[in-house]
Parts: sequence; C-alpha cells; structure tokens
Amino acid sequence: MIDTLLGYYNQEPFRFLSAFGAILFLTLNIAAILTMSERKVAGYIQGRFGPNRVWPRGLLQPAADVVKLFTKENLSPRGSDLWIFLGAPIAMFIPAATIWLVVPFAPGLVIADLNIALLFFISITSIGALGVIMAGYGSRSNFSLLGALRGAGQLISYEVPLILSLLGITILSGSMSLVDVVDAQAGGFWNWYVWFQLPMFIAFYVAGIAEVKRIPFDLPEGESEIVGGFMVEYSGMTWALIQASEFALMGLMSAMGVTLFFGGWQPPFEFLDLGTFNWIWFGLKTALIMFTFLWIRWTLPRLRMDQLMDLGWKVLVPLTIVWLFVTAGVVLVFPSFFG
Amino acid sequence: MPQVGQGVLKGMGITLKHLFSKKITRQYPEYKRDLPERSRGLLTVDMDRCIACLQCMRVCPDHCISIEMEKRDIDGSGKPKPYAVGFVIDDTRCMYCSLCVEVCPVNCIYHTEEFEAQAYNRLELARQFGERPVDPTVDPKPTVKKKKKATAKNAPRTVERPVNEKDDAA
Repeated sequence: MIDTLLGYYNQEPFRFLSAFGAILFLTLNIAAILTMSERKVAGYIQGRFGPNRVWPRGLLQPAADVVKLFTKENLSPRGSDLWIFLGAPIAMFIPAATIWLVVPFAPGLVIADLNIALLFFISITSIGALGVIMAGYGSRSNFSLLGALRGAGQLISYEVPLILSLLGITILSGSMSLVDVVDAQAGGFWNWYVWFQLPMFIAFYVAGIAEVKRIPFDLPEGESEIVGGFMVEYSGMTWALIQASEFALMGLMSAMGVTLFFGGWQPPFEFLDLGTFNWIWFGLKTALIMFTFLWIRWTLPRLRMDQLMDLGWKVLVPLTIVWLFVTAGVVLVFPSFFG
Repeated sequence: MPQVGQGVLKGMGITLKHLFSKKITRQYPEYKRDLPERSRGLLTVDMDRCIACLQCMRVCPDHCISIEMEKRDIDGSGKPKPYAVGFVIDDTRCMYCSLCVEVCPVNCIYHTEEFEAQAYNRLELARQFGERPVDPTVDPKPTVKKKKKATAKNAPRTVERPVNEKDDAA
C-alpha cells in the first residue's frame, strides 16, 4: 500500500505539486514567524513586551495580521501602470520562494539537487531587483521611483560581493551543488567553512543584509526621507506580499549562510547526529542567524547612500577578492589537505 | 584597522543587555498604577451631607452641575430647609478644575480616584445623584443679560448647549 503510494508520489506531477506546496508552506510560515519575532525582539530590546494580546502571549499575532490585511482594500494610484504595479509583488515573492528548491534540509531531504545550485541561487536572487524596479516604476509616485532607484543601485552593487563571497566555497568543496557543499563540511563544527572563510562569511552576511534591504541598508525603504520607498503606494494584500517576500528572503539568506558556512544540517559534533532529524540542527542554526538579523536591525542606524556604496565597492569587494586568491593559493599549495 | 566594527559590537552589546532587561511596560487594563494623592478623578456627591446651598452650581465655570432644590422639612423640626431633590454632574462638561470641591461648605462634593468615564451615549455620562433625575441639557445658570445697550460689540451671548440629537437619540 505505502509502496504503491510512494510509487505514485515519486511520479512527476505529484513530486512537482508536493514541492510547490512545501515551498509555499515554508515561505509563508517563515515570513509569518519572522514578522512576529521581529516585533517581539523590537519590543524586548526597547524595554517593552511587543505584541502580547493575541493568545498565547502574542504568538498568533501573524494570523490576526493576515486577517486584517485580507480585509483591506487594494488601492492603486491613478495613472499607475497596473500590470507592472500588480506584477511587482509577485516578481519579488517568487524568487524568494523558489530558492528553497535547492536548500538541503537534512540528509536526502532536498527538493532539487541541482549541480549548479549556487549559480541558481545567485541568478534567482538578482531577480528581486527587478521587482523593486517594477514597484517603483509602476506606482507613478516620486517617492516610489526614488526608492526604486536606490534599491536598484544597492541590490546590483551588493550582488558583486555576494557572488564573490561564494566562490571560496566553490573552490574548497569543488562543487556548486549545495548537497556536496554540506557533505564536505561533515565531521564536527571545526570542519565548517566559517573558520577558514571568515572574511567571506562577513562579506556574505553584510551583502545578504543589503540584499534583503534591512536596516542598516534599508535605503530603498527609507521611512524618514521617502516614507516607504518603492512600496509607498501598496496596501492590503499586495503590501503584505512584498513584506512576506522580504521576510522570506531574510529567512532564505540565513538558510543559505548556514548551508554554505555553518555546515548546513551537519551537527556540531558527530555523536549528535540525528539522521533524518538533522533538520533540527539546520533549523536551530538558521534561527540563530535570523535572530542576528533582527538584532542588528534594532541596533544600528541607517547608512548614508555614499557610505553604502563605499562599503560595498571599497571594502567588501576587495576583501572578497583578496580572500578568494588566498583560498585559491592555499588550495594550490596544500592540495592534499583539502581532498 | 583594529577599531573597525568596535562601535557596532558595543551597540549590539547594549541592545543584547536590554533584550533581557526587565520590561517597564505597565499593562494598563490589568494593572492600574496608584494615583497620586489629591488627584482629580470623577466628581461624586455625598447626598446625605449636601445642604443644597447651590454654591458648587454657581461656581462651576463649565455649568456642569445642575441642582434641583426645594424646601423640605427633612429633620422633622417643622422648619423647611433647602433640600437637593435632583443633582446631576455632567462629566462631558467637567474640566476637573476642583472649584466646586473648594467651595463646598460641608465637603460633600469631592474627587474620586475613578477616571475611566466612557459611554456610548452622552447622556449616560451625566451622573444623577438625587431622587429625581435632572435634565443635564438645560443650562443651570443662563447668562444674565446686562443692561447695556445691545450693540454689535457687546450683544448678549445666548447660551445654547450643542446637543446633537442624533447622537443622543440612542
């Protein structure tokens, strides 16, 4: 019986549909949890409680938010380019959801083991910039356009250090498949790439925050100057979709950071191996990185535009290039040490 | 170079400390803090002590106290004394200036610590204390017309209470 079901399940339309459902479930739930925890962390850092009215202790706040947003009206400005205006949230959400395809959650638990998963990740994340530009252009609003221009500049600039920071991993593991990258980090936390690739991880982390457009790099939103940037004109579910895609992208950046630098689902010690349940380790590490995102969000002020560009081009890009050569040199000189 | 990132780390240390600090929020409906002494809450009247001297009604700048007084033989001495049959305090008008409390000779009108006055109907906020309800919409002390000639400059002010019939219909 079960074998028959599994046989059906492994056939193409079922695989496709279940992968689709799993990705949507994961993305939306991560977004919901992150909205709630963002407000909670914000409150706790500021000496408040955060949302605590919805049972239990405010943990069901996202459900209340969703009900509220569903009942709101979707407005579009007069003269807006409606197809582009309404397409922008989708263009932002789909990339944020799609990359979960290649993330390995546990041994054997990956939706698509692409041999070019890193390339897939890089190319799909850069679609996010398209969504920002579409939102700014379609809104027919000055603030939106300003925010979109800033967003385009920022996202495209920080693509470069983001891509460069991944190359060291590719050299070390000799593969672009994320499954191979995780396998190469087996055997305890000292084998994780974060130690040797620490400058690369810092570059990846900073560029990741910039790609997610969070404080200190949230110039595209810039509430104090351009009141919300590219998403000024959005309301109701379109706004919710943009927010959800940003939070999902944030969860995704954390998951990618864990996969590439913190050994993915590999437990910190070998005797803690849980088999298929290693997704618990993956989840724990991802949650920690997500927490640092929130923590930084409520600590640092926003950078100025020129400081942002300086940091990207004058610090992160040289840092990653230098460390890329260091990695390559070390691998060339001690080839046996790295298998 | 060694100083790069130190400010960030310091700031993050501070926020981490505050993350685990005691929260200072007072969760209002469940927790009410004690009001300070002599705080001016809603007014209340001790009708047993009231001698219907009408001083509070006269001194009230907002015209929020209306008293209906009649002579009545309260103590059975055969000598009728002033007695407040109706006594209404309109909380929608009161500005908590405490003048009535100061002026009362028998200290029968005073502030309570109650401060949450809310209702769906404005008439509900007019609290009745006497035996007989008093209409709070009638001005208890209409402006006395002065005997000057009525010019455009000092035309007599007519006192009209802005009562929205639609609001109060419920």
